[in-house]
Amino acid sequence: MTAKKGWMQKLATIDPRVIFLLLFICVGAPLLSPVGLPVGISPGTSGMYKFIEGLPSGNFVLSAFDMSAAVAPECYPQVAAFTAHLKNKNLKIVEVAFDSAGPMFADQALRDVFGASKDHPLYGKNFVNLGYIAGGEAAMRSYAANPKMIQKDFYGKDIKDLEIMQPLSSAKDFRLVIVITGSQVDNFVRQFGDPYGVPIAGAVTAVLVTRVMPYYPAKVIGYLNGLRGAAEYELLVKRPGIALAGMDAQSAAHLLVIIFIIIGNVGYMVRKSRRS
Amino acid sequence: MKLKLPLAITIILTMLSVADYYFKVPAINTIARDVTVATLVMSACAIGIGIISLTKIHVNRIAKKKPHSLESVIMLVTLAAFILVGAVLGSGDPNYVYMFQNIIVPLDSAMFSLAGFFMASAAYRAFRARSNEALVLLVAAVLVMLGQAPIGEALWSGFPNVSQWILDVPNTAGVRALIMGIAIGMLSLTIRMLMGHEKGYLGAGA
Repeated sequence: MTAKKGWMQKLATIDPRVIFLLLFICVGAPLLSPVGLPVGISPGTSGMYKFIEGLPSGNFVLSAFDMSAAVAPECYPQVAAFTAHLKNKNLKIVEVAFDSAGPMFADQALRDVFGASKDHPLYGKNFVNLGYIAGGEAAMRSYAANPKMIQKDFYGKDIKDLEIMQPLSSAKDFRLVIVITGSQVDNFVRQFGDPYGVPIAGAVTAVLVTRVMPYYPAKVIGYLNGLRGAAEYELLVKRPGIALAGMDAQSAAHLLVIIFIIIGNVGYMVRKSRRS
Repeated sequence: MKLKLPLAITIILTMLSVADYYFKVPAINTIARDVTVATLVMSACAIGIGIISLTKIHVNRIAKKKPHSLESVIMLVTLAAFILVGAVLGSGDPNYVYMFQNIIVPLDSAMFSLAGFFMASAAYRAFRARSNEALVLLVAAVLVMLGQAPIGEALWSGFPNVSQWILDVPNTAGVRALIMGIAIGMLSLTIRMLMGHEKGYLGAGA
């Protein structure tokens, strides 16, 4: 009985360092040796993919980088996947950042998908990286009213010399605004969606999805749900990458947390029944 | 006068922003756009003030040889290196991007990822079925976790549907109520500011 009591006590009070170690193994092992669990496509991802698929070639799409470096492991694989889709559809990509870290990820996406950024022959014709505009929501409002509000792009090139920028007069000229963020999409709905009637899509962290869902599908036509959303999009555009590789790790980590929740509750129930 | 002037500026600018949204009057729209641009200039200046303030704090800490002075030195050296490379070569320069990708991104991502470990430990210690409400929350959390990861679908094909229903119906209803509540709160605050009843933003004693 004493031994049994000790075992139950141990179940309810596992050292956090044991949990950290097991979680580390659960995340690391599948990355080294993937199982390849099948990934289904969720409605949010499907909505965004179908919308882009339906856009005629040559239409303008705004990629708005409102992301910090902290959310890059979740958001950047999404960016790489949908930028590849925009390229395949021959859409004109305008990248702008409302977070100081954004332009660097915009540059990385161009290099990963097109092979080069400012030195690419199509830079300034099919795609552009405008850099960071300070001011948060006020900057979004100004940019939506006048996409040519800044003088130079991220690389110091004059906006007047960039062919892609010439037809743009307001947010109405964009057929889609893709918001990459770890904070909120509400401000983009307020400044782009409602006043100009531009459809919004979200590439967001998993914790933010619950804030995006109330706008779907009326205001937000689709959204990518964290790393899972990126993996789904990689599947749809047939461009397997880091997100798909990370799905096994995510599965193992979720399963471990669930097991620990069950263990914790079993220990708690047993102790409670003994006390009563 | 100290109180009335800022109050008058706030009321005029708020009314201007509201009028800009509802009326297509070129004069109003132009002034409102210029005011927004002025806001952007102030935001850019705020970044500069932030850098000066941060530098003063850390220089002071180093001068007084307070604990963790080494971290302050590292912070100031990094800040100076980024400003120097950014100002001389430009933030679009490959060297600046390389520094960002290899210093900021790994550090920031690692800090954010640590939350995962603490959440796992906290879920084990705090997620207990102490009441019926806690039990409902616990079951919903487990179902959503299983539905969000491919392992759930591999165990039972119904998990993603159950998870999606929880997110689509109870969750969305709750968040919509929250968003609407915030919007009504913001509206009432704006009306109070327009009428001069809200003076908290003017500082203590207003």
